[in-house]
Amino acid sequence: MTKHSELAIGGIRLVQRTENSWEIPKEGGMRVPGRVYASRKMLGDLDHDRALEQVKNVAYLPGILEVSLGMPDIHWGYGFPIGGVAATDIETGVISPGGVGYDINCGVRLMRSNLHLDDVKPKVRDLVVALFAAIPTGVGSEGAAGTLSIEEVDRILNGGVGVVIRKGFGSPEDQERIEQQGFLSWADASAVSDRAKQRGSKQLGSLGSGNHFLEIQVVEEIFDEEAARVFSLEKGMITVLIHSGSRGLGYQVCDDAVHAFTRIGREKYGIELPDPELCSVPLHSPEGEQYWAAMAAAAHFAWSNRQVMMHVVRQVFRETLRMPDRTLGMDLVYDVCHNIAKKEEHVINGKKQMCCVHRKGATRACPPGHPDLPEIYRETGQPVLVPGDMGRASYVLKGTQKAMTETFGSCCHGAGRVMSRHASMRACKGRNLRDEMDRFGVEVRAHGYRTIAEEMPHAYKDVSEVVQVMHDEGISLKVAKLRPLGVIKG
Amino acid sequence: MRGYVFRMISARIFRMPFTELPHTGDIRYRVTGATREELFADAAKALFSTITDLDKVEAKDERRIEAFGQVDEELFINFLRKALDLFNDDGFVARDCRITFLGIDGSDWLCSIQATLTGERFDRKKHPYRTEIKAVTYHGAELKQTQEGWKATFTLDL
Repeated sequence: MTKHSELAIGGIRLVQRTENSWEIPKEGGMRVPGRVYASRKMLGDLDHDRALEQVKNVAYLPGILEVSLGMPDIHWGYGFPIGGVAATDIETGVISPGGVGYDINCGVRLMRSNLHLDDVKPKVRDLVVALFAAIPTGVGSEGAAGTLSIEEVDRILNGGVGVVIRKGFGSPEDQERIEQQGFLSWADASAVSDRAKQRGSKQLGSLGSGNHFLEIQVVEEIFDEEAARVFSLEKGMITVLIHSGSRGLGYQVCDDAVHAFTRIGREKYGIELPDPELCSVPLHSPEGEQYWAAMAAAAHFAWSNRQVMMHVVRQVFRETLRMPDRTLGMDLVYDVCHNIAKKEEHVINGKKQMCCVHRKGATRACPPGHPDLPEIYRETGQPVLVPGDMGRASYVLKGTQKAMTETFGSCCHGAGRVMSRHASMRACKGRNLRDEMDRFGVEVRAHGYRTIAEEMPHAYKDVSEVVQVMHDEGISLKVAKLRPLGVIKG
Repeated sequence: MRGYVFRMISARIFRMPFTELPHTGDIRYRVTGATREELFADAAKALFSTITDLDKVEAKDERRIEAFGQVDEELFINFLRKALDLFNDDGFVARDCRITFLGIDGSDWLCSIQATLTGERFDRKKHPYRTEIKAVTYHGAELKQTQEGWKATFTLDL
């Protein structure tokens, strides 16, 4: 075996453990070591960023188990890094709202279709224009589902995605292809503040802004024929990817909790942490339990939001292409959350135990045979959806047993930014971005030039490199590569 | 060198109340003010300028906010959270902010702030669209006195 090297990135010592993974040795108040998945080349991007320091900070959380993880798309967040995973002991550990993020259950859903590139190519512009008109995006937009009463919001918060499906947004078959079937039994609307509900009442079926998007794509390459067949994907097929979350309702749930926990965590529970945004309380505490119930309720709202938007996508395709649903075949492949905490069983020090897994910008990656998978994916493993930037590509992977032993069953969630929004704007000076996106062959609609400038492909890592790290380490395996054709953004 | 001198001189003449600092995922501001009141007011403007172009916002209406905190940074972030609530509750964007009361006595006891913000409801036809703010975070929040006055940094989740 070759001798593994040591590096220092931004003053943080990294010891190589495999080709693409690096340990941050335990020091100071760290309760466990850190570990980052990245190629040597990608580590260079972290030099001007504080993500590695944030991986170390997460290791201070009381009750954290085994290791504080950074996925290859890791970048500087607030508190937790984006692309961070941490499991805490369910009995003695803490819950950290910052470890879930403001956009609770931000996630991705992928739809397949019976359409092929040749059928759709001349219509991409029409579809993008129609989608941009039908799906509210950006600041101050109101949701496609109109304004809901607080009672209706409560019903969604308690009942999950099934509530909107029963209202006619989609079909019952959609539900089994959503992580946890879009329902978390411990959700409780009464744990959610009135302000959060008020904000949610106007936003069901809206995309949001920033990096959220809705994209028409084509399957460009298949790496695993067998798994692709099970996921009902094939080369040349048109797919649609929706990336959005729980909107103002989720942001408010997190904000309420962070505000309360910065004080309570320290004063009532004596939890001292290096960054106030990591603030935590014991899972088994009145405050912890209230957040746990509110977070699940917000997750319900996010799934319902993506469900309503998917319904609108089907409508738009039906009307623009003048084809019936059966011909279109726009079925849901899968819906994953990438900002969430869940109680899951993992093997810790050789023994099975329940842990609370925080995924902040990380996707679950269940292996074949995992009980949480729907019957259809039981043999292949979970479809892991990894969206990239709007110019290059997105990927579908499948979960593996290796992820269970190494990363608490988790994989990366996207490309990961390398450039700040400001730097990206500056890099766009004097360039014609519309022309550039045309050269990528992507039809873009957004409310402002600024959004496009901030989200240009150069602001992100190359998702192909990110995914390759996960593939080479065996954490998740490549199934298909999707290329964008048209995208709407906030 | 000439560029640097020019920037120094122009920064003196045209006071730059806030600047954007590099942050990969979100947005981070540095705010300066001769007094603490000015600092808080400028931070509120930085917040609203993230949502839209403040030159296009008219002073048609006003809103009052009040915030509390145990230490300066906490008061500062809570003040910005209250300001953001104005937008989240009914789409109010402020072009100006006047601090009407600032109760910080240096002791480790509750500090409070009251402010009046002037502006109008966000209108997609009139106000250029920038971005939605998910939250004002406590990450890397700093507030301190310098030789020139006061300086603060804060991070918004976008």
